[in-house]
Amino acid sequence: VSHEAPPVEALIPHRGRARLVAEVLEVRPGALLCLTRIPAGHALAAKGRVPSFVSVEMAAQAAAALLALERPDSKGPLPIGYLVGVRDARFPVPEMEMGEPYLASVTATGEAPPLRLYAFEVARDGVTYATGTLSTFLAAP
Amino acid sequence: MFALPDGFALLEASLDDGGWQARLRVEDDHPALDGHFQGNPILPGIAQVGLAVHGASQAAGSAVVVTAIPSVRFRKVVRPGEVLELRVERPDPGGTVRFELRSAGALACSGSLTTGSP
Repeated sequence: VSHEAPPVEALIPHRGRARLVAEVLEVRPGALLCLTRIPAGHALAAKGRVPSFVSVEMAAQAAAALLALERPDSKGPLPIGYLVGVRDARFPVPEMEMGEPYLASVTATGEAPPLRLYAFEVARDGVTYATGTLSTFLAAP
Repeated sequence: MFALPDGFALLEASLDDGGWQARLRVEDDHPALDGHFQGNPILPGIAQVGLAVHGASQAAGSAVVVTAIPSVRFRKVVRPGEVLELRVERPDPGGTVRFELRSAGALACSGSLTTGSP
């Protein structure tokens, strides 16, 4: 299901080199697919690459965008979901390249407010760079 | 032995049979704080994991890469200026490394990483 999503800046509070989500591509109930990139000057970058565990942040930002799109009042304040856990994450490829497009997907798999669980995957050109589960804590507005 | 990630000031460090421990300060201009978030700077979880990976290399005596994260929990927000206490155990034979990161005595982040050679 395609979705006409607002600009990413309107969905997540990350700015500048901290923002990894470039574009929301698809939204379904409880799931989101987005285009991500590692920007120049990223804190963990060295020689044009970052370790693939940075994909956890890609997924966390995708989860934040999904939370924002699911809020009842689309003009209300952005919900803040803090990353509180990562489990069973695997990184078959040890490094990712800066500036290249990676697809990040998150699917909500469980909820016990204020906690929410997501399965995630990050891939590029059909190659999986990361899979796993992350959990977020939804802060009170 | 290995370059400390940008944005941390090493206050003291030691290596013993159990692993590597260090006290570090989060610099106000830590690059991971730029845009994360405006007016509310918070050290991202992956920057904490990156610090643990540095500690894993120190504990192992050789550079390591992370191939998996069996489990990591982020329990406390970390902000610029905080002094962190990191303890990283030596990798077990399977490459698993356990670590704890504390701030003002409170556990900020802990878990296990699976590491391998670059």
